Amino acid sequence: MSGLTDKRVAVLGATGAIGSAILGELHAAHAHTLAFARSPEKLASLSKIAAESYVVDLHKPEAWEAVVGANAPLDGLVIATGTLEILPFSVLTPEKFAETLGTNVIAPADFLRCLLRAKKLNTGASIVFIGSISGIRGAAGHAAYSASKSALIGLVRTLALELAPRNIRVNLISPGLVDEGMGAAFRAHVTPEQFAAYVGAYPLGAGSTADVAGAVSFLLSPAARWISGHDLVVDGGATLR
Amino acid sequence: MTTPHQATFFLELEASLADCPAGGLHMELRFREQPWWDSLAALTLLAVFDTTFGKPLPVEEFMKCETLADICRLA
Ligand SMILES: NC(=O)c1ccc[n+]([C@@H]2O[C@H](COP(=O)([O-])OP(=O)(O)OC[C@H]3O[C@@H](n4cnc5c(N)ncnc54)[C@H](OP(=O)(O)O)[C@@H]3O)[C@@H](O)[C@H]2O)c1
Repeated sequence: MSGLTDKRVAVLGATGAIGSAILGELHAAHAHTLAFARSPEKLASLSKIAAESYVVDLHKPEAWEAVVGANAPLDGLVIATGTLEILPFSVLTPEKFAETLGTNVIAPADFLRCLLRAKKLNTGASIVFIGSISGIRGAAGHAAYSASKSALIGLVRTLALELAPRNIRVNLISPGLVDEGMGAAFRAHVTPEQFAAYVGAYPLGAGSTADVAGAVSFLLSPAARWISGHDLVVDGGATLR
Repeated sequence: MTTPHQATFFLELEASLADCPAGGLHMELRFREQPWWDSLAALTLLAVFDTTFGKPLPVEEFMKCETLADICRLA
């Protein structure tokens, strides 16, 4: 028993590699799943695991109110959106920097603010952001991405305090590299030898989207009812080195 | 003959590559053989190409380039 049966849980970025794995895990746990994503075509492909689907583009806030207004309050929200552009710092313009911070931190926070102001999160709700181990340790070419993921740590801790009086929990999961979605994009930037060496540095070997989804499911569940403001690192021990 | 766009490309690339000596770039330079060449330099070159010439440099084409002239021919 996961304790998520019939709970209304939305996944923002449900069409991504990690987002769709989370949606699948929640569906299997008999939650009432809501898929939020920007592409109607990709959303349609999730019909077997999404009880409801809504188009949400983080860069089109003017359209959020209609989606938020149409929905009953949520018991859980997972924010699994994100962007990664590997750029050496010397060519990272302020515009590129702002783009990454906007997509990875400011827009998701603003979407959450929209839900809260509309009273669309139930007492006892659990919110999970997806960060990255890049937010804990640096990586060449990741200045904007790392900064955005570090910012999530501060955001989550603050929100956890602000929302505790309403018994709403806010946590972060910082995954290591999984070879899908953004991980696959990373692979395209390096040689096969470099990629093998990178994954070889993971004490527990390579991870998968299912490893991340399992951790998300736990933080959404009543088993985590006393955990808030936490950054759960899911990386096969990579950051221990 | 270096076009204005190519000149901007060279200037921007030199400024962006921390270990590249001033005035160290020229058309016939075999960039992969330089002491400052590494994976970060490769990403830098791709980004500077994109912003200067307004189009991405396809990675497969880039892999075949040996000199900066080869790169500029793809602009
Ligand atoms: N994969 C990894 O190895 C890894 C490791 C550590 C952390 N992470 C983090 O995990 C999260 C998911 O990554 P992923 O690997 O699943 O990447 P992904 O497959 O590229 O998914 C990214 C998701 O974000 C959505 N998105 C991007 N910009 C958006 C916008 N403006 N509005 C709405 N949605 C937007 C994408 O929508 P579209 O489908 O429409 O493009 C997609 O659903 C990210 O926060 C990432 O930083 C991933």
